[in-house]
Amino acid sequence: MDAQAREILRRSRRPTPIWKTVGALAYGILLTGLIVFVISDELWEKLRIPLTLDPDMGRVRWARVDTEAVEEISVHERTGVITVNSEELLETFEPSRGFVVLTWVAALLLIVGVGAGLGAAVLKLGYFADGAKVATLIFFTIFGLTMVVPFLWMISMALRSLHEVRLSEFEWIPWPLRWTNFYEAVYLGAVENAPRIDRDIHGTIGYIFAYLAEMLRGQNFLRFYINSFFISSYVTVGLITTSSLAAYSFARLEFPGRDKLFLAYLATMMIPGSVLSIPVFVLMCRIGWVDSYRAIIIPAMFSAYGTFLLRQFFMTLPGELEDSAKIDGCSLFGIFLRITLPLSKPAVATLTIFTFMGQWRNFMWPLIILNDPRKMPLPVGLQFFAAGAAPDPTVLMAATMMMIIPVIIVFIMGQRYFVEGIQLGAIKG
Amino acid sequence: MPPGDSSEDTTIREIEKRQARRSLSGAVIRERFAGYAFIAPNLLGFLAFVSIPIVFSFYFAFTEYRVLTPPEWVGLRNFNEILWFHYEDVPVRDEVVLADGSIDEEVRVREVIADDGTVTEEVVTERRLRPNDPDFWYYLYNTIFLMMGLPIGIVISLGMALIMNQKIRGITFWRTVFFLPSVTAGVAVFLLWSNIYAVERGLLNQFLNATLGYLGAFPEDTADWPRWIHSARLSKPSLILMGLWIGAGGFNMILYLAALQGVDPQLYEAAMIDGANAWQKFRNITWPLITPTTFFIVVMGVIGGFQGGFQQAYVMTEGGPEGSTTTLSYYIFNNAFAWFNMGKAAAIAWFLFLIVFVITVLNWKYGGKKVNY
Repeated sequence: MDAQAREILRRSRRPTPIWKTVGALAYGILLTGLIVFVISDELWEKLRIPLTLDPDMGRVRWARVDTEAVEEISVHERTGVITVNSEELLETFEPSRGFVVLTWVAALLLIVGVGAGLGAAVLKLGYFADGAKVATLIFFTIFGLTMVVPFLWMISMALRSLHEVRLSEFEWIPWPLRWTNFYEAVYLGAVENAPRIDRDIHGTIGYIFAYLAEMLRGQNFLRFYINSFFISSYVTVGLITTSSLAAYSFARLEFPGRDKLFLAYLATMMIPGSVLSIPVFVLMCRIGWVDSYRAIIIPAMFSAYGTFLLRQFFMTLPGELEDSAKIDGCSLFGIFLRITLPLSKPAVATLTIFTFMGQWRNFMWPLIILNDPRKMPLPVGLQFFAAGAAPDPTVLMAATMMMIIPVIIVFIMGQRYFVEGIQLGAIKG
Repeated sequence: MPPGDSSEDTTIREIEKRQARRSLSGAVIRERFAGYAFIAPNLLGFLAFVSIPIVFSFYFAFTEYRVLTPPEWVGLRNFNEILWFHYEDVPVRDEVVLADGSIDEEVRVREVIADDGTVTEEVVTERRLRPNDPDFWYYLYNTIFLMMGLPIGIVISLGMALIMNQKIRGITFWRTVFFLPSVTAGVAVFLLWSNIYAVERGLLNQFLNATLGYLGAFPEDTADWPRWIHSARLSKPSLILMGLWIGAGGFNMILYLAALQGVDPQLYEAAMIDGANAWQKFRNITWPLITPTTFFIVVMGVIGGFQGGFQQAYVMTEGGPEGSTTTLSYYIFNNAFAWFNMGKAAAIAWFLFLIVFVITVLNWKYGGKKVNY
């Protein structure tokens, strides 16, 4: 216990590493930038690659390069996507100043972040002290690169034009960076999905709100995020509530049939999910819940595993505190709420993380039960986009990146809890 | 039991019973009520979405059920269809060497002279034992094949954990980096990897072309490049490779790291005094002491492996090419939700449960003995 306290103290004294701060800042700015660009049409119009085109061709949303097209420049009637088919012509499209600035800011942040991280590693952490450590460091670097390179490639792909994908020589840093891929990905590659708000009627602030409101109604990535977030949150809150109540009952209260019931809970934990999905799907058909949020949220709220995990943790808590509270006249619910739950923070935190993460990446059940793209959570939405609209690989990688980056940020911020949670979950489970 | 004691015993028991009955009216009743009340929300949901559906699922396995019409009892037909074999008359094929030296197959025929003297050719057949549903066995084979990643992953995870279990600063940073793939796992990573495995523009072939191609060991023509998940031969190894990338630095490594940190350092000191080398220390101290973790990882890996493979197959390959990446869980999904053959799907699902159950029980019974302490 003493060593643990010292460890906590040591951890709290240590300042946040530079690479963490700079990295978080860089990603924060990038994300804010992305959000601003997506919302602000006007800003976007200024930043887009300037094209001199016949005004009759309509409003230009994004430009694409396609070397296999027949005409030199063509505009898709329905989507408004401009296709350019000549490399000489393409070279005349200079990236606008906004693009260049954005690119340089991103590059600068990346360089500063990586540099600070490496500097900190060399200066502060005392690597290169002896041979074995250098060997370990080299090994870690190679292994770490294997883990990171696919992600870097994803970012590189997400920022290039289709024209550059088809170039025979692969370049890691495409130029100019094709930020429009993200714009296209947000609206699932179809310009009809972008809101059309009349700026003159709403005014600037009203315009932003109207734009957001329209986005929340339509089919786009923001909607997928919101769906995922709310589904995961509801499931987590519901599951923690029902599981902790049941776990307390199993661990502390005496009633006939308790142990048999607990055994029944345990027995169902081995049943594969596919055994369950068939009858539950039939049930959902019968009660008319197909294609609704309820069908995803409510069945997921009752977990035998969660009950089991919390029950095992509650059993390890000392009973004296509860006994003294009982003597003082505290109700059973009061004991549960004021003593047992606060004492079980680690277990509850673990279960929260795993439930939320599990729902965030839940794929099969929403895929079975949902038809309406506007109700889809992120994984199913991404798959819907990838399989349905046959997007360019660059746009698809932009969409993939938008799904992965937030997870990575949350993980970096809370990785200690993840690791401790895994260990706790394995020991108890 | 001496007869003299019994009267005394009964009176004591009587008193206890009476006391119990009296206290039943007070705190015990309240506690019982609270016990049921606390469980009620979870139990209701558990009944509605877990236990009663399990019963129905078991019932569906013995029915022909196509959702639109009510289930119809067919007994063991679904199990017969997936698990059993039948005899079939199969044409005998002979290998024939053609004029250009290549080998072809030809159906063997025999001449039959009928009663009226006419000669007809008849295909020679032989009786062969054939599975009723060959697909099922192929998909079972796929599922087991894909689990080959488990032992490889265990070796890599343990190796990484052993290297990480040193006094090195900045270990949190490395742990975070190694953990990134498993924390992002899911549709996004599968989409990323299906682009990495893309034949011409994919990262892997581009990388191989830049390195091996420089040495002249990689075909120049893109038509000869390995097709990874797009070829029936390489698709499963490709998925295993991807699984290793996702899982090697993830959960298993963290579990091993925790187990290694729990090993008493005095044991190593004692071994060092005895003059043990690094391998002996690992073989005789580390490995026995982390056996419970290995056991846990293997059990969970096998259970997960038999039920897994749906998502990657659905997102990356749609089960193909030629069904080479379809696993049992994908087959169940297709039967249930693509072809609406709920009865057969339930039968396969219960067979899957049986496999997992038997393996787990065997593991606990025989593997459990090897676990030290």
